[in-house]
Amino acid sequence: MPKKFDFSVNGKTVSVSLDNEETPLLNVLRNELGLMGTRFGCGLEQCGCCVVLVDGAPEKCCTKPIWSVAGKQITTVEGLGDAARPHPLQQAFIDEQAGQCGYCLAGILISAKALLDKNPKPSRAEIAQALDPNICRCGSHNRIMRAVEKAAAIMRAGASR
Amino acid sequence: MNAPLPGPLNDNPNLDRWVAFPSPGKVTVLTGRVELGQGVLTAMAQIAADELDIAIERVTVRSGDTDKAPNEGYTAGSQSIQFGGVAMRQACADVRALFLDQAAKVLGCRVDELSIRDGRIHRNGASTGQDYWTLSGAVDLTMKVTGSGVRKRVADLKSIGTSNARFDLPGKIFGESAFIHDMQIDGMVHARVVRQQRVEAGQCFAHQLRCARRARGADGRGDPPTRLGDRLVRLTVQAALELVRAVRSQSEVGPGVGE
Repeated sequence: MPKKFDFSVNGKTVSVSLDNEETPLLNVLRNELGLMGTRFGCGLEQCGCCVVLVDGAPEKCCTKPIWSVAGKQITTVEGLGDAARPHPLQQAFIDEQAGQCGYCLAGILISAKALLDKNPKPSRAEIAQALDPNICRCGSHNRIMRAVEKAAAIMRAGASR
Repeated sequence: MNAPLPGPLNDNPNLDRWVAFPSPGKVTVLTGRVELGQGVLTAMAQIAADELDIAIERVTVRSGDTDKAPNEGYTAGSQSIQFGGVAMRQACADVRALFLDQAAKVLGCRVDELSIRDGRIHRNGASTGQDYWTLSGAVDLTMKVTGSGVRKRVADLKSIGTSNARFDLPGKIFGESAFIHDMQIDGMVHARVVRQQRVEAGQCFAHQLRCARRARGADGRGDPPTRLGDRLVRLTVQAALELVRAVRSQSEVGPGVGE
C-alpha cells in the first residue's frame, strides 16, 4: 500500500506516494519530481554532491529516507535561481568559471548558501570548513573559494543598499 | 603535395560532417568528442571561430550526434584537441577557402582581394554584401576535405589561447540536466547487475531470476522482471534498486553480494 508524503521543495508543496518509505530523498527529487540538479555521487554520504537544504541546514540526501523529511522544507540548486535570475552564488561561479566537470557544483552551491545565510562575511578558513564535506575531484577548489568570497561580497553590498 | 590529413578527417572526410550554416548569422560545428568537463566543446567553438573568421557567439557546437557528427571514437586520452581539434581546424579552413572561392566568382575578383570579418566577405577592406549565409546555397559542403585550406597563423588567432567562458558550466550551475544519467527517454529501463559469490555464473543468474519472480508480488510494480543480458531490468531506478534488495533477501547467499 503506497504511503503519501507531503513536504515542500523550493517553496512549493509537493506530495508523493511511495511503496517504500525508506526511499532516499535524492531518488524522490530526481525520479519522482524530475529535479535533476541534485546529483547522485557515491550514494554513501561521502562525496557531498547530493547536498540539499532541509529546513535551512545542508544535508546529504542520497540515503535520507523520505519519511524523515515529511513536513520539512527542502531547497535544491534549482531553488537558488536560474539563468534569467541567478543567485549571486551562481553568478559568481559563472564569473569565476568555478568548476571543471561540474558534478559537485549543486552540492557545493547549496553548502555555500547555507554558510552565507548564517555568516555573510566568512573567512577563507570558514569557507573551507563549510565546504569540507563536498569533494571536488577535479580540483577546482581555488576557483570555488574565490567564487564564494565574491558572492558573499555581492550579497553584503545588496543587503546594505 | 598536401601534408597528411589529421586522422579524424580521413575517417570522416565530408565537410558537412563538420560544419553547417543552418540559418543567417549562425554556424554549427559538429564534433564526435563529448564534454567531460574538460571544456572541449568550448575549445572546438574557439577553433571554428578563428578559422572561419566569425564571432564565437555565432557558433553552436553539436556533440556526439551519431547521425550527423563525425564518428571520432572515444573521448579519451587527452586526444580531443590533438586530433579532433586539428581536424576541426582543417575542416573549417577548407570551408573558409571554398566560400572565398565562391565569393571571388560572384564578385568577379581575385581571392587575395578578399577577407572575412565575422562571417562577412570584404573586398580590399570594403563590405561586399556577401557573407557565409548569402553564399551557402552555392557552396557544396558534401564534398570531401582536401586539406588545401590554409590554416591561420598563430599570430592571427584571436579566440584560441584566450580563456573563453565554458559553454557547459551554466547548465551545471543552474542544476539543469547536464549529465548522461539526467536523460530521461520514453520507455527507458534501468538495470542493476547482482553479483554472487562462489556460485557458477549461469546457475547464479537463473537463481536470481527465480528469486526476483518470487519477489515481484511484494514489489507490486507491474510485469515480472525481464532478462536483458545478465541484468535485472526495471522501469525506474528505484524499482531496480528494490528488486536487487528483494533478490538479496531471498537468495541463499551471505553478505558480500554486490550490486
